[in-house]
Amino acid sequence: MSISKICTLILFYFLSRLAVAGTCETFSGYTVKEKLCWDDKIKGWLSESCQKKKCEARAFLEGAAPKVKTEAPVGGQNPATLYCHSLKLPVVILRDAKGNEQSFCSFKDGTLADPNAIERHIRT
Amino acid sequence: MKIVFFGAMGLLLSQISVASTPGCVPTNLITAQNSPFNRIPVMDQNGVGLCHAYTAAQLMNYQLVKAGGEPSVHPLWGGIKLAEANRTSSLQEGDVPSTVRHLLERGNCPVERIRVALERWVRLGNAREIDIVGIIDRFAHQVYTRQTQEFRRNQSYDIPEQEIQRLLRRAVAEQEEFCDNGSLQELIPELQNLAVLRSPQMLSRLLLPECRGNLESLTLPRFQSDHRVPTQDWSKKISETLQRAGSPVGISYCSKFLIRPGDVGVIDRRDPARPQLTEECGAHASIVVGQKPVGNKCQFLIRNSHGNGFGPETENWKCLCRHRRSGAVVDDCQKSTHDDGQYSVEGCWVDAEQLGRNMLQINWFESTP
Repeated sequence: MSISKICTLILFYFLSRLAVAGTCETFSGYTVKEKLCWDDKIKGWLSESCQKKKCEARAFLEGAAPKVKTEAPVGGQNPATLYCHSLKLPVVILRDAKGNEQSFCSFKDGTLADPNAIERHIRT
Repeated sequence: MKIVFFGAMGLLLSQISVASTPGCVPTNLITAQNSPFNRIPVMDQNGVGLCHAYTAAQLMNYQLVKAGGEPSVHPLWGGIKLAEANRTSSLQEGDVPSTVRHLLERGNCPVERIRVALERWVRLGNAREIDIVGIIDRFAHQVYTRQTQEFRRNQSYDIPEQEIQRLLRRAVAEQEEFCDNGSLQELIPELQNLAVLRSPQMLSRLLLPECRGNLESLTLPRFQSDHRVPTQDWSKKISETLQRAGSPVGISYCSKFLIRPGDVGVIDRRDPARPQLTEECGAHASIVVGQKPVGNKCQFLIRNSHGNGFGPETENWKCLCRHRRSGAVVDDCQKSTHDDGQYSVEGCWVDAEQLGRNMLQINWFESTP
């Protein structure tokens, strides 16, 4: 095998790793920092640890969606985060690098998931 | 020859298109040079019905930054001051003009001091911030749900102390299942006194001791509000106000139309002070930060307070996105093409006429003299 082919294979390997890693970003609270990565399969943010091992957030989003009835939003409540409430999952609000706020549902093992993905999973 | 003909036709049609949306002068306060929005992030009010306070905070912060200051109004403080003034049992009842008025009259506790207050809770409970936010969120939600259920039966209902304690113990027990360590039981006496939605005055005293006294006085342009507008004139009114003020316009409206664009949430406007709404209206408040003609219609750019992702309310609309890394702005981004984690949603374009059929009130600060 020529050197150029080996180089091409190595390059291909690193590019494929990059593609799998996707977009990751550190979200911050007042005192905490959590790294989350965009997951194309669920179309939402998931804790970075879900990329390396099994986690409850991913198990929920890839499992059968439960039947959940949410209350109608009152006073402009975020309709997606109401699903966290209905599932009895605490909601945390973190900020991205630009300071924009984003809610996440927190699972028992500490992993976080995008409420928009949860809402979509249940609705569709 | 054909090229000249079609070119002339195209020009003529584009002129007709612009002429048929008079007043809809392209405006975009997010992409404007040195926009105050560069320093005012997209907010997320979560499951707390404080849209009036989020809208008031954004309108005020815009004026503060525009005048060279810092965005220092926190929505929670606005909600507390209004609830104190109105002596309501819930933070989640209110309107934008009253929130602005009470914040101006009673003074502002800057955002940084509110952050210090939250950190104090983290130390007290020896817990992660996520647990503190989680427990307050659980407690608030349980109290609010109970209050709302009972309020439907009895409008003078006030949750008894024993019920507050029961809900609090339940919230702590539920939250502890999620905690690795920490001692959330330590928080019970403070939370009990807090009784978030029952006594906003206590919240202001106990959650935010850093805000006692020494409040900052805000100097802002004149604040205006209007709700006496016929359905067919709402889009014109918003458009004119946006241009004249050169600042965001606060809107109170039935938000259901964001999910079902054909919905008409306001059934009867004969009494403008108490318009009749459909059950599904979902009264909400946000800000309009831009407008543009599309075909022969006008669209408004709405900045909501539901985070910066593509959620159920943005699926029907084209939005204004910002690339997370480069900061480049992409107009007319859509869930189908841009929901990939690379972009944050800064606002979404909605049909002006459809919004008009769901409008309740607008609020704005006049342009700085």
